[in-house]
Amino acid sequence: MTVDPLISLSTAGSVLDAAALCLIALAFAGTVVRTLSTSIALLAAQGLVLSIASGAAALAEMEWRSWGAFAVALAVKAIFIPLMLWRILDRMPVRQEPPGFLSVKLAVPLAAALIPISYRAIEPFTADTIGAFNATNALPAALALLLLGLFTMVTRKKALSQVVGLVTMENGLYLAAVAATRGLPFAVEFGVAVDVLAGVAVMGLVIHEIMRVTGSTDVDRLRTLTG
Amino acid sequence: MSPEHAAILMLLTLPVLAALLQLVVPGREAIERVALVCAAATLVLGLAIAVLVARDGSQEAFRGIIHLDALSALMIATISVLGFCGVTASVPYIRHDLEIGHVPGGMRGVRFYYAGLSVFIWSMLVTVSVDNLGLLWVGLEATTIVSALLVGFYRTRAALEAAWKYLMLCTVGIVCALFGVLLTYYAARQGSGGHDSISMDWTRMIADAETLDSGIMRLAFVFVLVGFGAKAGFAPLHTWLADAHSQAPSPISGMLSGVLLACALYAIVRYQALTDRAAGNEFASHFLIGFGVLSILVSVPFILLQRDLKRLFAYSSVEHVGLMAVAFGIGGPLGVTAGLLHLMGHAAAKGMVFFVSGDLVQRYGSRRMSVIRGAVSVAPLSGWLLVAGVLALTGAPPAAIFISEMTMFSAGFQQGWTEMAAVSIVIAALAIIFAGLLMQAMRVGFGPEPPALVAHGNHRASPYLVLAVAPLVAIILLFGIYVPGEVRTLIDAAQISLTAGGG
Repeated sequence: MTVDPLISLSTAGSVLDAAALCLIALAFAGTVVRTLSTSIALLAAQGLVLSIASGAAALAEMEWRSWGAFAVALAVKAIFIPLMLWRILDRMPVRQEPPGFLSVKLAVPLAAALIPISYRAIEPFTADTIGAFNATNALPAALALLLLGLFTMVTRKKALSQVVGLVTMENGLYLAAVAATRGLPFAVEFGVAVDVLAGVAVMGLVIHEIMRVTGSTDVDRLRTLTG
Repeated sequence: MSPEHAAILMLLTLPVLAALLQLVVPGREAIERVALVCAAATLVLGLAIAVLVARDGSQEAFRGIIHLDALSALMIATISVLGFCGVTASVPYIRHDLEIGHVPGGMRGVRFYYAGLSVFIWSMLVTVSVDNLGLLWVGLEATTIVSALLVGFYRTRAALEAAWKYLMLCTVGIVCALFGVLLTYYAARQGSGGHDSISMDWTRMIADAETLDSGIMRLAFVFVLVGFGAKAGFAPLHTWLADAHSQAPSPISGMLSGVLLACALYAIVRYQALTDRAAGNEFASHFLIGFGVLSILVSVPFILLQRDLKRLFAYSSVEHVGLMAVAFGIGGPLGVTAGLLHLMGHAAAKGMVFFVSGDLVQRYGSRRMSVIRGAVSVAPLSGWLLVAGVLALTGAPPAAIFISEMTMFSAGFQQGWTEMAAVSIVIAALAIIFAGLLMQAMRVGFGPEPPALVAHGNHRASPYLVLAVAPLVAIILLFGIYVPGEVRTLIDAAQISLTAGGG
């Protein structure tokens, strides 16, 4: 059975393009804010924007695979992961990110610099890699999310912020999958989502135990094992 | 359903059923019985399926989702053997820890341990059985998640630190690898001219790997190598490895070192075969040799100056993963054969030393080698096996690793200058490691023993430990003298499927 697409590929491409820009802004904001509840809210917003992007792709493709990917993105990235992080935060005594390994004056311009770097790095590929949707911002945004997520992970001290960075990285890959390859096979997409969800759950468990044993979730205190 | 399908279905469902059972059956003995029966059944099924693949060729099940070629069969056999030995070695180990109150949560902890171990074995079996490269990623990430729980099993500060580092480094790595998977998928899509129903099945992709875009495939390989390489323990991404492998309960350490690292390497080798065909042999090969040599060199000082028994073996794993990477990097029929033989020889030897060092660590109540002295008089079986295991790991004849290392060296000298130079460096490093490991093992085995342990201790080994190490000793010796026909057939078939057509 074939259903006529509700929107054209190019409309979906424009939605993807706008979503990509939104995601860059959200991820960048994530590297600036220091309140943990705000960074979780920003991560939830990323998830929502991603589901809008994959929803647009689904409307244009009208395949059950794309609708499945949309449902999974919405459930996992916009709802379950933020909820889980929220529950961990609820049990934490300190909800503010302590001063990181880099001062704010240094960290913000460094993070900002990652965005043009991503555009430059992807340039040689954009000519034929944009895929059917012709969303020029999607791949640079994917790389930017990957780098900004990694940046969050290495500069932050709170274990929870590192999980936020990790999920940001994975969001970047999801965007690349939707834009460049028009999505992975559904079984793979589903498996990846389950893994990410289980991963965040286990990380939450370990954070909880670390908090119980050491009374803190600052990962820079975890330095007893060497050699 | 044909009996072959039934066997594959059982192999891939039994461990999960066992895990569920272990959560509900009453009492420690019942849990152990379920674990042992399931491990034995998995062992029989795994070996039977390997023999089946050796005799009748690749097997497919579940509409091609599961595709067992020779390489998968070798991995399944290795995982099911080490899985059986790991479960068996767990019985005395966990009993002891439960007795002295080291198992967090008591009986609940025991349930959690055995269920976790079953799921861990299951996730590795699935990883090496699926044909789809995306699902291979999913399986490998699942092994990280499950094993991280087992690494943090003791819930002490150090164990949690190790689990956290392991989760973070390997997950970041595997996210990079996912980018590589995407690029590979994209390369296939480009190659087929934008066709919609592109297969991510390795068997399909390898058949027309020449059509993959070579530039994208190279980029994909780099991401996959770095990503899965973090999990395989390549330097400089190995920093989590010694922590995780030393903090985990010893039977788990043996599984992590023996087979989990090999599973990550298995994934890399599959991508190497695709990259070789799409972009020429040299590219992937040089990267692998580079990471391999670096890992071996980095492990040298940590082995020489090590004070912690389990960390010693963890760094030895970094060395051996490096050796396997060099072997697969050299490639060709001889190189791949050496890599596969080494993978199995190392799994057996490393499993054995971790299982017996678990026994020793419990007897001495410490992992420090300044405390663990005179092991051959305190616990004759574990002590002697530890010394023998270290000899096997250093590649002394007649152990299996001797054969694989010799094969690797001759493979290297048959290739170009790069391979020859790499092998020469490796041989020099191996000589130093040999001296270092042997010196450490001699002190542990024959140093002055603590009088209290000799006078009052129970010197007898648990029958479960004997049962756990006996198959491993047999494999180490057997493979060093004569590789059984079925294994030889599987290695040849795997070697042909990985290298043929690569030029």
